[in-house]
Amino acid sequence: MQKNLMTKRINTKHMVLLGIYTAIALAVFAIEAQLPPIVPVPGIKLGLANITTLLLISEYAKRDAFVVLVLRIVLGSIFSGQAMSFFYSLAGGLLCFAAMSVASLALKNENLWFTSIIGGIFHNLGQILIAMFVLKSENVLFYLPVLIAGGIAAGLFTGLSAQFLILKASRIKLFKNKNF
Amino acid sequence: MKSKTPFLVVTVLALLVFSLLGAYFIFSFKKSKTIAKIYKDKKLVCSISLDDVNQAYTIEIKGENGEINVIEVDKGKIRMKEANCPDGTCVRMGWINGGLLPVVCLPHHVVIEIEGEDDAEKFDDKAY
Repeated sequence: MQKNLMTKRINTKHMVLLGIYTAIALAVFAIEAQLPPIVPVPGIKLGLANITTLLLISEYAKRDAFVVLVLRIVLGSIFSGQAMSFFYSLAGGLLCFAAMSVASLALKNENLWFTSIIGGIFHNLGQILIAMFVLKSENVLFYLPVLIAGGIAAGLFTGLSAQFLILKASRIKLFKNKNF
Repeated sequence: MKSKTPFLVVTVLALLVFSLLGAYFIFSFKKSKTIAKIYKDKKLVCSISLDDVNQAYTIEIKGENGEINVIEVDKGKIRMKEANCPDGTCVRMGWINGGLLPVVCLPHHVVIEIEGEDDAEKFDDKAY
């Protein structure tokens, strides 16, 4: 069993695919960073890179989604050059991933939008916790309702994007060899 | 198997309504007495009784690596006038005047909070 896992890990095709998905996520992340913030509230953004995480969770494996997510956050913070944003992204990203993994156990692809909303809410929850810790200010917690509403809106958008993407991509059999 | 979608839609709508109600309450809340406190890196830089301000003035808060936040104080209100942080969200938040929401500049760790308590210090000091 252990040996089996090992050989699967070194599968070149698998590695290349994860590399491509990381590149896609990073590109989306970099483009989104150039857009001006929509609402004047710290922490609210669309989170378009989450589309990759959703796609990988639902069409590939959670482990793959996790690898791409962490790589994207680490590289994204290095490229954007802000050390602090790394902790915000990491806390948000990991909580978001954990929540979406649990939600995806119970839900099918037709309800991917809901998984994404759960992820959006937990992402913002993670960020607010880090902000409370870094700024030592409980008043930051008053942002919670605004950030939950923002998480729902952003989650719905990215979730539906991922859902449409999977629907279209399955027609051209993009994920045919997903089991490597 | 029955579709879960209607149940999920209702859940999301309920959550959205509750969070918007909460946000509305927080945005419309107003404190009677307004003492602004400015924090940089968790440390209190200065506290200003906003009601006693007669003429608008600005406070500059400098940090390491050339971080600059310019805070403007006016009668009963305070705002982040300028900041050289990457996102500029703090500047875009505009004036605050006694609500619950603090102005936060995440990249520079600057927080402007408003306290309504009378027991807070009543002096008007400027720190540079």
